[in-house]
Amino acid sequence: MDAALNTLARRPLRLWLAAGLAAVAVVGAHHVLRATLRPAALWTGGILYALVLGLALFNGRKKLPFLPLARASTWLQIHVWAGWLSLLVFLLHTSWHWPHGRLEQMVGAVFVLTAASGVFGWHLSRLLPPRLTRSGEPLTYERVPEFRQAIRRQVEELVRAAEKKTESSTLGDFYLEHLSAYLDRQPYLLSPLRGGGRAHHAIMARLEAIERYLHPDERADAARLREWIEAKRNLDIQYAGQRLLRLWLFVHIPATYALLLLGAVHGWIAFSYSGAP
Amino acid sequence: MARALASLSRSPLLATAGEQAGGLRIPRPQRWSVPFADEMSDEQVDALLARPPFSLIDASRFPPRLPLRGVLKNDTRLRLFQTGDIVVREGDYGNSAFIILSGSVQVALDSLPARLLGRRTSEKKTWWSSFSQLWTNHRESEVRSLATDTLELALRARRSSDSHPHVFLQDLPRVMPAYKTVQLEAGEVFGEIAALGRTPRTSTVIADGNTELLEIRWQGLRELRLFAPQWKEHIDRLFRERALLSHLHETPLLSFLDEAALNQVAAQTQFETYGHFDWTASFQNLAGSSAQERVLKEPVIAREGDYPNSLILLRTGFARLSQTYNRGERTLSYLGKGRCFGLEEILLSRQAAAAVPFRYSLRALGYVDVLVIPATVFESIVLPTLTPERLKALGLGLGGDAPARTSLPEPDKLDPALLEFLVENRFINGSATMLIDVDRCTRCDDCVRACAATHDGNPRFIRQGPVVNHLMVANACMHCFDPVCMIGCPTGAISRDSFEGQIVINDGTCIGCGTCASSCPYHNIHLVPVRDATGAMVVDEASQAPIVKATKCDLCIDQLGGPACVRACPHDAMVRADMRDVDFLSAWMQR
Repeated sequence: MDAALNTLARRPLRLWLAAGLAAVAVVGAHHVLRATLRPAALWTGGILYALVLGLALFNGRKKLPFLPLARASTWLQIHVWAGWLSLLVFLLHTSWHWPHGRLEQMVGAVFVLTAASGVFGWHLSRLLPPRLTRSGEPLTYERVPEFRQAIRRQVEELVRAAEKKTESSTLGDFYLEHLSAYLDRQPYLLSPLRGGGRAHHAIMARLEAIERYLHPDERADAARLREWIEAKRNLDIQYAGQRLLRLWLFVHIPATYALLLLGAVHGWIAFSYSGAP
Repeated sequence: MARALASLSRSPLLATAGEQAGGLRIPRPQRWSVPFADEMSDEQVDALLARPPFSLIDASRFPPRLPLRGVLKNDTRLRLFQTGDIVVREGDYGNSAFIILSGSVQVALDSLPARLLGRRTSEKKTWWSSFSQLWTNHRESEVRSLATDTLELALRARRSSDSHPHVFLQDLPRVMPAYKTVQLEAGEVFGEIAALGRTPRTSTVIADGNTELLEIRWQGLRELRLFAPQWKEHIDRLFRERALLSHLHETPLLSFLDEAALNQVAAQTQFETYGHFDWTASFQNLAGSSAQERVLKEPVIAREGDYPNSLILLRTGFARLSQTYNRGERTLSYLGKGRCFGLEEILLSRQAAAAVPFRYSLRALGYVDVLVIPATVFESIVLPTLTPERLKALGLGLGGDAPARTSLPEPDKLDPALLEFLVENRFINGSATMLIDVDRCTRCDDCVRACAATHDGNPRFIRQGPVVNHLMVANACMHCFDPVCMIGCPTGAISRDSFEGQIVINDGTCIGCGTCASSCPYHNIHLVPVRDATGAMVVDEASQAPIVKATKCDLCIDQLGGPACVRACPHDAMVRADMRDVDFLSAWMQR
């Protein structure tokens, strides 16, 4: 198991205890409410809404870095455990059944989307950083397009110079037929999860295959091309990894706000028709 | 792959002009290629040679490549000051000493208030002022309230006849009587402690009337001490009188000596310096060398296998402790201020009743200033006071055959690759080095945004830097123990905060000359164009060029809760580490 993934074991015991106690308390309270014929769904709904509101405050903390509001890492730990707790409360609230009403289904779907994107992001944040570290030189995400262009320019200059020097078209043909497309290629959205690097291996195999046609002077250029291909590989890994580490938040955060909005409407309707004073 | 990416990072446009043309050709720089000042004329040098103390120096002792005339011509400059001009400020780092040629100066024995010296006074924001940054932060970055800044500059700095800007104390007769001062007259020397000892100036010195001073840079002082014995004697005597005893007093190993014994030790102690005072250039020149070449170019303070004829106390700077390993040098540790070298060999020699040679080499990293106590003096005066219990209490002493903790700070605690990396890049100089665990960092840039939000909309660091294992040393001011960036600041705008020790820049007195930025060996200081309250660029009225200010991480000195970058990291991936604290470093790496 990847060491970086083994974060559960690193979490302080008190967080486990707090989360466990909260879960027991919520389940116990739910049973008591049901046994005493109280409106358990209203209570669990209220708790769930409060939890989601609290979870959303983490984003607010990020907007106020100048205030001593505890470390963001503490907020994240609480966010993760409160997130798991909210899932339990959601299941209690829905009595382990998928809701029937349209609005309820919408709220449920948005909740699932928010929770699933959160779990996915949490997993990514532990899976991808070590992979990015091992792939090669760390690159700033915003500078990747600049590096991409620079690699292409360097490769073109190298190939042109090789052609001029040796009057052989082997490397030029290789560039036009295969390498140019490889350099243009953008990694797929979920490629960091797939691993493999099939395109990279294919282009390396093709370069190796043309070695037999190379002029002796071209061999050093081919070796340099290999380095640039490796550089492009690292560039793709860094780019795709960092892109995915950013993009999941573009699902998680809007979904959270949508959940707060739909949850408020759902809660208002539920209260209105519950007969509660 | 590594080569390709590295070259890409070095220059987005990749090959440099020098590489394409087969390298830039320039004459090899010489010792005096860049003199201290251009304005020293032959007539002025003649006049200096004709008056004491230079007329008393035997010029024939100087080698032909370093004549006395050359030293005076290239390593000195004449400075003219008016009443109230601050010559040196307490706390500033200086690379020169002064001889009073005419007039006099007042040395403030008490510390003058920071504000009086043009220093930034650090005050924490209140909760309200912190919170109000939410709407008071300007939309444009680097907006300054220039009304105050320019006013302060106009009041506090003036161009003098010798073309160096002076900061002056207003109303000297009213201010100074409140403080204890001492007057120095023509012929006297000051500033030698900071110049030779790589320590901050110990006092503020203010011109008292029209005063002419000869400023001698550190290199010139070194030559004078080398080739003019009476000069060396004079400077060393001043050093002994003013600094040596207090340093020996602070050395735990000598804390059991009475005053008379300590004076005896002081009388025999030699003061030595290694490396370049302003070591940025020499460090950067090593960039293309291999790891082994770098080690071999470092000045040797003590060599493995040599007879241990002295105990070496590190007074300032850092030194590499290494041992020969097959055909290379293996770094075992790094020693900083207050550490000693050679004690275990002296103790072992005594135990074995035979000389045990140095088992390690000690090499200067940057500029190192050491005190050398002869082994005979140490054995006869100090050793009798060091009982096994006292040695144990100091964390020193011998454990069986293996001496422990006299020089080595638990070498096994740090991974050897990490240790070599930290020493080679001299990151050990940091008191608050920004370290990022890249196995945890999700590259979310929350740290960068937090820094920008707390610093005029512009982050004070770059989340990039060299990586070893899973540790990145980011481009952020490390608040160095040996802050070379402070050398040469003409207005003293960059200084160490007197309360918490951070290196800070006073925006009001920074003139944007870039001296600090080019002196920082780690490229962690940047010049940024500033804007006025309307968001428009501020430009120089004469040249229309943008007004720039030096900026760097200030460790959120005025923010509640400490560095915003660390607090903003959701994954506990960042820390500001004191690189002397090996225990912490090791524990943090192994979380």
